[in-house]
Amino acid sequence: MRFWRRAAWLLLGAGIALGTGLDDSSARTPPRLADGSFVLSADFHVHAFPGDGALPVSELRKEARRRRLDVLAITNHNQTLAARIGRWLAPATGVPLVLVGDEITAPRYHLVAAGIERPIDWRLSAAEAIEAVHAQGGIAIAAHPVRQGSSGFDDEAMARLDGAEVAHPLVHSSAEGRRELVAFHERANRLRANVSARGIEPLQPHVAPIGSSDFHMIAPLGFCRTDVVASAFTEKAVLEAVRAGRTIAYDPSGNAYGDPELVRLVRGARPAPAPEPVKGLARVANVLAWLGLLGLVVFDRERSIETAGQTP
Amino acid sequence: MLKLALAPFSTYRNLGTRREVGRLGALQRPVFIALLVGTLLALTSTGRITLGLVLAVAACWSFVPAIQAFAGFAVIARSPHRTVGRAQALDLLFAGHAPWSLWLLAVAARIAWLDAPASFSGAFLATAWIPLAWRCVIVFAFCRSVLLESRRGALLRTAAHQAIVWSLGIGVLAVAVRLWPRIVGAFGG
Repeated sequence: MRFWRRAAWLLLGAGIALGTGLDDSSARTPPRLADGSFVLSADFHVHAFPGDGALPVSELRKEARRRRLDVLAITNHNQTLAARIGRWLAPATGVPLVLVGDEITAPRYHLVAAGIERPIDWRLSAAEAIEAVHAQGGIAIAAHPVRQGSSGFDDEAMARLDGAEVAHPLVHSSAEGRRELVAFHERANRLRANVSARGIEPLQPHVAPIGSSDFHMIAPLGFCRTDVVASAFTEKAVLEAVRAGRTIAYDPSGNAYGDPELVRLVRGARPAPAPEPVKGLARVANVLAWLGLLGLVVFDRERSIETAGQTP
Repeated sequence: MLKLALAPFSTYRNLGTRREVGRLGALQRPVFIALLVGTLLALTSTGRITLGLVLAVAACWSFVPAIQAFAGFAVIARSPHRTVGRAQALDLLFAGHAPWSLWLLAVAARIAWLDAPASFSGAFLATAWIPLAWRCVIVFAFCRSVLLESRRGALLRTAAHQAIVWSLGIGVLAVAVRLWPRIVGAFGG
């Protein structure tokens, strides 16, 4: 029994050592277009620990670099603690840029707020919440606005949104979800054309298409993502670019959603991003560690059993 | 340990005369569970395992064995017929972790190797009743054989143990996901 237990520790140790040796979380320089604009790969909807995300912010930043993400908005439900820890840990000019955010989780809508300082009151209506986000200098993005759970987005709220998620892990798991996300985005854009006549002034002509992973612990970070064409690699420039609709959303298959002209420009600068599967030696490391853990559970410490029944 | 998980009554019954486990010894299994949770969460959430990642995630999620330890102490502390020390009793209670550990290993394997990452539907989570029921049987056997409780006393302590574990667990989850607005929404608020 002791032999198998030692072998299991050895497997676990070998898996972790191999995985550590293969790790590459080095930063890269974001590509630029001919006019000098940066093409920044962003994930605007990420959950962290403490909160309902699996990873602490320090590890999220490393994971973002592994996944070639330049911008990360940490958006726990109705709280900004983890996000503020993230910004405190991240140097102002480092990769990835960390935005303080909050997924405003209300009974009839979920709204991602990025670039804010304080959590937004979830008891506000969607339109009031968006106003509160703008008052803090942030951007407001409709989070996974499928039919169920987005009834709070009335015309006034739709007219003031900065962005809407059109690519989300939902699109991968359900054709219905994909249709509903795209329909919401199209409806928001159609409304822009009509609301002025009803006395509501939209902030910009288009709602930016956004791709987000809604990362908790299963869908990989950057599984769906957004390319932001920003004038500089700063928080202010990223937020301005989203407000101006200079974004392209990508689903896990690399399909792009956004202004075709912008898509063409960005594709010229670099290929469409796609999540990389874990393969080769990294997969071997994972299997070794998993087998090691299985062995340690099956061949649990036997000291208690070995002495069992021995009358002193 | 599988022997304990498969035959909890007879195995626990045979453990009454063994050497005392010190406080540090009693920490070994909770630490292992933290390592297990840390490694599997690292695997499912990133597809990678590195030393820093495993240690950081294990430290963050160490509240899982901490809740188990708290519930264990609550059940063990006031047991008049107990024949072993508190540390040893806690170690024996943690020795029955196999059902949940094996289930976590199975879920992690499914997410990491069998499913496309985001299409994991959660249907597999419905199988959680298996480790839940299995663990209850083990805790009941522990109360009967180590704490020497009557059948009724063992049932009450098992129920109390599970109630503490799940109420604390759900409490942590409720704070993390901000459950209240969702409850308001579910009731048409």
